[in-house]
Amino acid sequence: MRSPISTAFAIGIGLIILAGYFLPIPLLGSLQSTLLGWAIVIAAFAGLVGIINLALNHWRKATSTTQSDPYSYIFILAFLATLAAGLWFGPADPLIQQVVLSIQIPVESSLMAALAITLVVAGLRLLQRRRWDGMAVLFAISVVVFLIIGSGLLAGINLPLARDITAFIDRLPAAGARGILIGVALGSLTTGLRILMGADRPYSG
Amino acid sequence: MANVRCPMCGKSNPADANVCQNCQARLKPLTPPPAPESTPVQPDVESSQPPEDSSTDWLHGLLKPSSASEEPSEASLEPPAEPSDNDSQIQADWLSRIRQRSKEEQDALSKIGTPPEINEIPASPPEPPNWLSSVSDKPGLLSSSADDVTAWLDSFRDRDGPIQSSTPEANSTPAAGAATPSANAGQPIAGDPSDEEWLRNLTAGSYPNGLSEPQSEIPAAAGLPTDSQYETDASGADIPEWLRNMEAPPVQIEPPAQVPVSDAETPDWLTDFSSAAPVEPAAVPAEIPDWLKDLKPPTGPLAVTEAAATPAEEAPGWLRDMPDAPLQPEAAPLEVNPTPPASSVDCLSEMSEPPLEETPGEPAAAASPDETPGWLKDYQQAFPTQPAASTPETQEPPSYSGIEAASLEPAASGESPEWLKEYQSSQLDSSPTEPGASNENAWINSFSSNTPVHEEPSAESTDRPRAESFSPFNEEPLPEWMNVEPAEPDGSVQPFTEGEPVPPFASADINEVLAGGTAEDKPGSENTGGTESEPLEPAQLPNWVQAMRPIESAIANAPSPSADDDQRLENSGPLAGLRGVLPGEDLASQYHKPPVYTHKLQVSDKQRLHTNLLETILAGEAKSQPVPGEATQAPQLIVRILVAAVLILVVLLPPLLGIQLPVPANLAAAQPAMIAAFNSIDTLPTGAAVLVAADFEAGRTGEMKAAAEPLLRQLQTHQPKIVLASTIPAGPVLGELLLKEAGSPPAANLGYIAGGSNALKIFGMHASPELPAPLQQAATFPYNKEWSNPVLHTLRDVTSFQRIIVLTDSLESAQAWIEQVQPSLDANTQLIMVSSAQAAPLVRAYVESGQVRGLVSGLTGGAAYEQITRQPGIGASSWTAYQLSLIAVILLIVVGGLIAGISALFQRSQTQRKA
Repeated sequence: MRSPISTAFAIGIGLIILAGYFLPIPLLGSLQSTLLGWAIVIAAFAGLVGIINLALNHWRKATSTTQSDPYSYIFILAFLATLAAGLWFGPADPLIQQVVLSIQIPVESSLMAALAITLVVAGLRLLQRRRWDGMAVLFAISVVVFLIIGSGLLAGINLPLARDITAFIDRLPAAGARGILIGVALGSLTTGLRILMGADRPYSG
Repeated sequence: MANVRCPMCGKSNPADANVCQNCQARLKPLTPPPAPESTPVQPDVESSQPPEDSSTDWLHGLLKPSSASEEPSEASLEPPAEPSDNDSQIQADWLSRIRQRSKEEQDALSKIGTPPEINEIPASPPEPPNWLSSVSDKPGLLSSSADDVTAWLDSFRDRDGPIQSSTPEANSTPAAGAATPSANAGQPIAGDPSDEEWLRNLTAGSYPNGLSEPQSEIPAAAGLPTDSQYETDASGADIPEWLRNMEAPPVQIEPPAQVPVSDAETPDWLTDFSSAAPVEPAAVPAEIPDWLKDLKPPTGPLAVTEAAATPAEEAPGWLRDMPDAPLQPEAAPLEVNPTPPASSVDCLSEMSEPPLEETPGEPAAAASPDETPGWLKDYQQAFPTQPAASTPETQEPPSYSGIEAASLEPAASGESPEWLKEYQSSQLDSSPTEPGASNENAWINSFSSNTPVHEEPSAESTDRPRAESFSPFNEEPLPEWMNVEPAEPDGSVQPFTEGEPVPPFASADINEVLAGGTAEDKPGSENTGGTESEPLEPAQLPNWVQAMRPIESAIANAPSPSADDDQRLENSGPLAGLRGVLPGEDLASQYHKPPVYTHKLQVSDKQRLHTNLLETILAGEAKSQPVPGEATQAPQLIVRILVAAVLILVVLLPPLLGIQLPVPANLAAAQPAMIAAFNSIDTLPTGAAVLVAADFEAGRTGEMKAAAEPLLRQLQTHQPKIVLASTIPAGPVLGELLLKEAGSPPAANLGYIAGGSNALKIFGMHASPELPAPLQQAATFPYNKEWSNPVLHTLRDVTSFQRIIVLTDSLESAQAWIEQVQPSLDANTQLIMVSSAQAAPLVRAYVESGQVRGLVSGLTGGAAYEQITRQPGIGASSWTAYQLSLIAVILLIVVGGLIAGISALFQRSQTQRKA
């Protein structure tokens, strides 16, 4: 068996956490909370490790003699400035909030706007590429319908039949969403069981 | 004198030269030129006949060893290369010696008395010649004592009885057999009376079975082997060693390759003998009585040997009918033993046990009447029917031409015996149906034919007088096999005149006649019964001759693919002229090209069809589907720009132009979840703790602000104690900004809750003795307040909040809050979701399940919420742009679909037109 110690450790921790949900044993609850606290610390540290890894990658790109990326210099400068400001001023400082308000929100909002245009172009060329494929037509029709429903155009129609049709169409995504959620739940359960049984060992590398 | 040009090298030589001075090739043919008085030599054998003068040398070589038998010279083994100049002198010389010996013989015979009375033969014959003495020196060879002669004569008396009654020693001992034919042949050369011993040994068992007593009493005849004797010799251990050795090389001699027979120089008796002695053609006695010459060897081997000495076309019919292999002229012995007569003495001395009966011409003494021994003359007188008078005066020494070819040069006097000439004339003039001739032919044919004649004596031969039935010297014409007409060079026949002095050895004519007679002996043999038209019984070889046949002939009847090949004639090399010498198996024909087996499978049409189909499918799988490429990149870019421009215009133009579309009045009514959220906020007690979780990204700030701002404004009316937290790093700042814009800044900002769902698990736990402050444990470091702050000090767990408002733009974040925190909530704590339009369909499921109390989603939810609160906000102001943009997007998708459909129709129609 590959990395049996880590596997046994993962399976043991998982069984303890699972037992804490089903068994009202104070010890199990205490162990559960303790272990989850450790997981939160580790996850936080993992975020820090990720930030450091990102900064180093851009540092290597910036200092590369063959493929020097000028944007990496910008990233490194912005990272260091934000880190310094955050450490110095704290995240609740209005200066830091202004930086986020003036830089992060417009940038990300612009990306969302560009995404909207890209999606529209994709919708426009959908039938041209798929040559009136059934799924393409169905997808196109679904997009159109949900846009119409989401836009609220039908909300102004005060007709009994139209209201029922709108309610019916509005429930269709909910039905689909439930199916998606159930599938996600079953998948999560299966993954948890496989990890507990040692079939999947994502922690082994 | 004209020079003679060498036929081999072309160089000129003196006319008298016999050998080319340049290449040592013989310039003069061996055949002597025709004597002026004799019949011309037959043209076809002229070149092969030895010269006349060479015979004298041969005689010298023959006679010298007789006198000095202990010194056989090597030169004598070779034919004389240079003939003497004075041929007549030499001839007279040797003739004189022959006459002298004949006289001695005659004296000896006279002492013996009448030949039939063999007992009266002198007991002490003269001393044998040296050559014979050398032979008798060998153990078991001839004995020269008078007692032996008497015994020999006694054996003649016993001839009246069956031949088998002869003493076995006579056949087995070398004395009886006189060793080899060569040995026997050497004996008569001396012509010494001591030959009687030799003759006695010969007569021990050498006459044919069917011959009468006088026949057996004649030494010469007795010396001739018979079929029965040959058979007896070949039947068992009696086969002499030299004869056994002969069995090994069955060689066939092609007629052209045969050694030319010097018929002119070969006496008839020797010719007969040569035909009877297939193997060792030893020295033929130089002097043989004519009566002995006429003795045609009646046995098969005699005929065979004669056939060997003559060309193939001259072979008798009965010989031709015989299996060819053993009957072919034996060239091997001729070539192997080219011993001249002189050297034959050595051969005799070297050979241990030759059968005496195979000595052909030992009773030599073929002399003229002057040279006829006395006893023979007496014998002839006693039997006047024998043509003793026909004996020529001069007699040529026996020639080996019948035995040896060019190596030996027999003596040729160029004259035929008189009796032979008479025979020739009789054959020319008389018809073959003459009584006497027929009788004689029958007699001779009985000799010349094969074994049946001798094994079963005919009645004629037995009824006739002994001398008449046996002696060839009677006046009756010669048999047909001897009746050969020597052809003139011009094709005419030389007439024979009786009484004309003819040399006893009629040179080439005699041999030619004999040869021709032999050739024509076939019809004569066929007429043995007296009727010319009666076919001759096929000749049968004696057993010993059959045993000599090569193995190929023995298995001739066996199916052999190479039977035809065995008869191929060798054209080159040392075996040139020989037929069937080498195994004629055509090995090349036995090897064939290996058969070619096809590697193709026998596939039916159906299987081939399936195979092709499978190959097509596999080939199609390997091929990549061609992707229809875009014509150019320009349309894509233009479309993108147009789409962006349309959307931007749709969003910007309404506010710029002051276009305002009214929010539908029943919009809020169509969103019950929004109404539930409104009611939950509306029922919130004043000053209650409210947890706002800002879990959205900065890019969704616009949508989330439009959705959450009416709710937060309503919330502010209740003056809640808002605690801000977020599971996203940017969430605390965005939430705080959103709250500030809504006019309700948070009382505390717990900041970023690291750990995702795990942290929410702890965050949602109830406070317990083991975990007294799970909120503090989950968010250890709030941004702007300390946990010691009175606002936060009263908060222990999530149940401390009256409302938990989760601002989320993703399903995962909403699920984490719903799955990890919501189970820990009690009835006082309500979970309200404000989500983006993207996550609304999924969150709505939780709303419908009751886990989430209310839901406000997107711009539509915010506009509806404003509509309910009657406080217009961002939703109302953005409603126009929002709806127009959505309508534009819908139209673009529809238009794009229509364009694609139309273009597809056009392309299909064009394709159909092209087709």
